[in-house]
Amino acid sequence: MSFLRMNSLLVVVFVVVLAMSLCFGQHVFPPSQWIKALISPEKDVLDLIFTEFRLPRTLAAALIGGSLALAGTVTQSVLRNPISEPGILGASSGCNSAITLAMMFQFHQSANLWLVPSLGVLGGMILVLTVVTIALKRGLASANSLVLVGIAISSAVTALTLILSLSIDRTTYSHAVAWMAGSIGRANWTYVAVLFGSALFAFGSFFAQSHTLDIAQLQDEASIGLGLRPIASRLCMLLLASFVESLTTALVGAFPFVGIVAPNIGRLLTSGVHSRLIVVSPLIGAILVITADLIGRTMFGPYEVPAGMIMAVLGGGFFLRLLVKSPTYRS
Amino acid sequence: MAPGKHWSRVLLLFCFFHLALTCVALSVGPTAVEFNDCLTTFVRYSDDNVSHFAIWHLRLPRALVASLIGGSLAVSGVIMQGLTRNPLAGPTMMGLSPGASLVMLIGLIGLPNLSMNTSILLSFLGAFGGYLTVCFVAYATPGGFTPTKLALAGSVVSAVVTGFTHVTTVLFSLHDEMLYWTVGGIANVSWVQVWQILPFSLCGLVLALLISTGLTSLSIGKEASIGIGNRVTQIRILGSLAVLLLTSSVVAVAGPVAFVGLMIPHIAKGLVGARYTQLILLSMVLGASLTLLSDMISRILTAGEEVPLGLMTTLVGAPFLVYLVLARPITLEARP
Repeated sequence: MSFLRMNSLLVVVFVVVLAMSLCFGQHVFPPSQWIKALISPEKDVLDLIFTEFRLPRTLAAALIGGSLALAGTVTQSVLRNPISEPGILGASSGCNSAITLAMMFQFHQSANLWLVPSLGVLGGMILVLTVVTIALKRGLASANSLVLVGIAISSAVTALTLILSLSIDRTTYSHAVAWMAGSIGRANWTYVAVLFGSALFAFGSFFAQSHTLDIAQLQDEASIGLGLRPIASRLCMLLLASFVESLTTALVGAFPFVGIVAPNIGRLLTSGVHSRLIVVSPLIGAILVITADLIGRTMFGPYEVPAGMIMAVLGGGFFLRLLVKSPTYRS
Repeated sequence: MAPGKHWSRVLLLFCFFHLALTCVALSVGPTAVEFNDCLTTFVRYSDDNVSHFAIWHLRLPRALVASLIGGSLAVSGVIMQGLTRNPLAGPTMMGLSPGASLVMLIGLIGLPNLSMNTSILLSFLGAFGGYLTVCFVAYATPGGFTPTKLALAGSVVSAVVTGFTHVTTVLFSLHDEMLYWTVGGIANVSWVQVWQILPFSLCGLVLALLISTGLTSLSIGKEASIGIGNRVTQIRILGSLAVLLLTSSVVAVAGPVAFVGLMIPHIAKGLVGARYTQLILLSMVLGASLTLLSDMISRILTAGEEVPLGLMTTLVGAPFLVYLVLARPITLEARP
């Protein structure tokens, strides 16, 4: 299948899934009502449900899927490891620890709704910078030492957070768990705006650097030969990817699997050239998260199953099918 | 000390360290035991002596199970990283513990009051099933085996199965039951569990040592390995079998114990280099020591409410790994 045909197919699937997500839910909104809900000057309750809940939630799902897939693509290429994701450098575990700590001090009851998410982003970035600094200590921030230091530090911080959370009182603990479990339910228009801004910036930067990413996949010697400074460019890309990851984690909780699976599906569908991969994987990520959210909130009756869990089953299943059918998997 | 040199001395050192650690593990705990009693337990055991009872029926099996778990997971981590040639590979990633959790959960829904042994059997079957799925995807599909495919298949199958487990947990409201199975622990083990793990671990270890030279040659490259005269497919299949033997019974008894299988191989590689015979033996001892030490710390520090073993192994092991990366970055690099 040519790149153009596959890309347009993906766009069609994306639009269909987006429309279905806008339609279905506890109340069904057929497309004819969308325009009315958006433009009518006097909105009734149903219109408000559409404009204030359904629409931002769907858009947030698309943006989350897209940003995480972008961050995952870049991390995998830069670290040269197909099973890595931005969380490996500590972005999501730092974010979760900061949020748990913030809740221990009852910050979530403060009037400033942005206090806890900002602390989360701060925590994530501090941990990533710590990892990078340690890996740089010997002047050798190679892909593998970054991965090893990242795993060691982020899993230690996760363990500490879990131990800490055993000692806080049950109400605060359940707040923290609910925050971290990952649900798009609390998305509103401000979230959508923030996510859109970061996704656009990341997409622009990575797309402009797609050529550098192609080279960064090679061994260090080869990329130096092609005129790249491997350590500097690697760290810049990783920091941006980590920022995107900590931002989404701070806003809507963890979706650990999108970042691994969407880029790999992208690699199976395209030739793996980054100017294409950077376009395809966010689309796939968006489709996966929207579908997972849609299934999670419509199919299970009184319960709402968090999208992250559905996502793992859905995206993983699709990926396995591709992996089994694909005759040559390029490593 | 150059890596690879004096490796037998390093190994001997850590063996003694582990032995000393075992003695300490036997003598500390809620019931104070004199060191003298530790020794007499083994020479003239008497049922009337409380210390003897505590050591023989509680602490010794627990120390043995902890060591077996750590040793087995570390060795299977070495093999996994050798087969996938990926520093992120570990036994928890290959579908074993997710499979165990899922089958356990289905068992809990079907039969609410499972006995300990039935649940261990169920977990074992689940681990077996999860691992076979991963191997099927990696080996039996068009295009044949590649290390990347094994790594991807492992992480994706694990995620899918975990996803199923979470959805089932939410739908049947089984959070409390699942909590135990997501962190792992060995709080209530006895001699029965020692015998449930020991035969599998021994067979797995022997198998691992048999293919160790083959793994060393594989780490140079598939073509080079074939050139030397190794049968690569045979090594890979035997390696996968060894991982299955080493990990399935451990996961069934203790649940997922994080970090040991992933990190100990890197630590061992930093100490003795990348020759797999040395690597396997040292990883075994290091893994056993780490798990035993972590279990001991969690018993002492938090009397009453124990910190889960999986968390403690991470906290104890992580600083050591960071230190090693800082001290000698070169040896931790993947060899081309």
